Amino acid sequence: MAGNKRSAAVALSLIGAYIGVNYYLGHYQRDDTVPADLFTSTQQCASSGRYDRPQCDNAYAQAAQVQQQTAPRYASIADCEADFSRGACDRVPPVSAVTVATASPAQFAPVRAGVVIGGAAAAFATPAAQPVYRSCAASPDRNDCGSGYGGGSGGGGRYFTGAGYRVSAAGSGSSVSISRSAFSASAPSATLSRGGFGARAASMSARA
Amino acid sequence: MERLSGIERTDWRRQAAAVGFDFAYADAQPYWDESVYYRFTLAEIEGDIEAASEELLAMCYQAVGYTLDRPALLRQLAIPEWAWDYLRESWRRQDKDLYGRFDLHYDGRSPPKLFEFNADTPTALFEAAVFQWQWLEQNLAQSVLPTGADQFNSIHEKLIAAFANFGFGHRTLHVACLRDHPEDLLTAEYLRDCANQAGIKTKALAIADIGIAAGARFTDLDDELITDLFKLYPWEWMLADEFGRSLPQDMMRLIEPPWKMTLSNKGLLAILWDMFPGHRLLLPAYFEGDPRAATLRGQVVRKPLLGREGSNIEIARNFAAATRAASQANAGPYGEEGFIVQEFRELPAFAGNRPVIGSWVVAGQACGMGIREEASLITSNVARFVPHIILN
Repeated sequence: MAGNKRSAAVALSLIGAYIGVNYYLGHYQRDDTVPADLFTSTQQCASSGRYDRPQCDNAYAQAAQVQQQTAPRYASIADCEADFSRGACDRVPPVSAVTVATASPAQFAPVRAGVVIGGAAAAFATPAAQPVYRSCAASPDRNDCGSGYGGGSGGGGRYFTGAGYRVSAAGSGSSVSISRSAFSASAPSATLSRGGFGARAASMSARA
Repeated sequence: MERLSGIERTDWRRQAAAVGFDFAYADAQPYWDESVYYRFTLAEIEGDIEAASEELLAMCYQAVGYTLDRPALLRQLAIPEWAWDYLRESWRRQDKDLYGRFDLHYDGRSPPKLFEFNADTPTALFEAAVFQWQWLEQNLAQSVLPTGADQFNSIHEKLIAAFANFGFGHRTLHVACLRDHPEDLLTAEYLRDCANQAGIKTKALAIADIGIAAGARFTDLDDELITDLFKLYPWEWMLADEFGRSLPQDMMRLIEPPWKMTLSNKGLLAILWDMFPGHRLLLPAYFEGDPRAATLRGQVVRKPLLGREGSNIEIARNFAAATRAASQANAGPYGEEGFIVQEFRELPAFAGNRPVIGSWVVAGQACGMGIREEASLITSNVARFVPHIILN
């Protein structure tokens, strides 16, 4: 019989039906990354030896189409530049006629900085392409973005897809890694970046 | 209040492993220790621990408004000025808070004294709410403990009720914590379990996987907007992180709410002493640098405003020595925001072990207790969790 100072019953619904802490880890785990390539021009793509010219042209065409649908959009150029960098944004046509009728026609989006092509490791049946944007939000007044990326693609800053998946340098040349999900269907919220919380995670637990 | 020998359940390690509490015995010195337990009388629990916790909590809530109205105090708490209105707005809006843990000095003879309030990211929750409860129930079932033995512990029930009362409706509660800390994972997953039982839709993610979308809206890994977030991650770190400045622009509601920052800071101890001088539940405490700190008699404890797990806490034989310590290097990651000095109160010793009472408050109500003990006078991350019973 339960006393009056303690819970009458303590049932668990999530915890207890499985073995060990690894179960939790699954819930809080970042999703898989896949190898990919980052190019800043079709020329660079074609001369990389990773893809041939038709594959590169095809990927760029695909990326251009995705860009129209998923590029982060802003009502003012100032808002856009704050998230990317000074001079990195342009006025873009509205997404559709419906938008013109119902919302502000003035729209700004970041200029594409390159294209990331996945599928080199047979993760995908056909190479999938996503436009990527360069952000130096940490220092928006500097168009050179410092040296955050460090890959061989020139400039600094970080590269993100329209859904906010970050492109990470992996090895030499055009090799990068990116979340597998980056190549899935377009996202509702167009995440611009991740990893802006948790900087102190490496050294400390939150417990008190 | 007394410390008694217990009989360890033969399979407690297996039970702990099954729920992800395997860090209870991972180290050479187990964290969960049921070879002993503490016994309290009902009068000690209700008259001292519970009543004191409720009174302290009421004082703390008063201190929130008091602090938010005083820029000088906000500055002393090292809360960045750009966030002040963010905190005030959450207080004015009466954003609900979920939980906290008072760490109390208690010896069964004199009134409890407040050491500190873990108001933002308190842990040791699962072991208090669940594992300790199961220990009692199983010991009762085996007649190892006498019928009628009870426990100050309705934490689990109160958590479920609190979540049900948050008014999430059909919105999803995101639960986020650091990825690589088993204790944080267990705490977060336990709270998510409670929220689920309250009928709330939940989703887990790592703090580092929170994304930001146009218009400073926060997103999860599926790019869904995060409208409500429980974060087992200190507020001061959130503000200092890259996305911190976007928080005030967003509509996302957080648990704990922003105003809790005025309480999850050891500066609270100095503020309480200023608001309620001589209060029987408080130890004299001042911000370091306050001239009145020199009036502290005898040994003093110097605590960083934002420390955790006993890091950087020092006991000095007097105030002058504590001041000298200020100029020396510290072993530990905390202290850059400043310190308070508090009158030293020696923890009682039971067979050489020094218990500190962790008194839990959930949704504004004192509802349970967990005891950690170690030989040291400063309770740290090597303390053992020891269960308790109520039996007259």
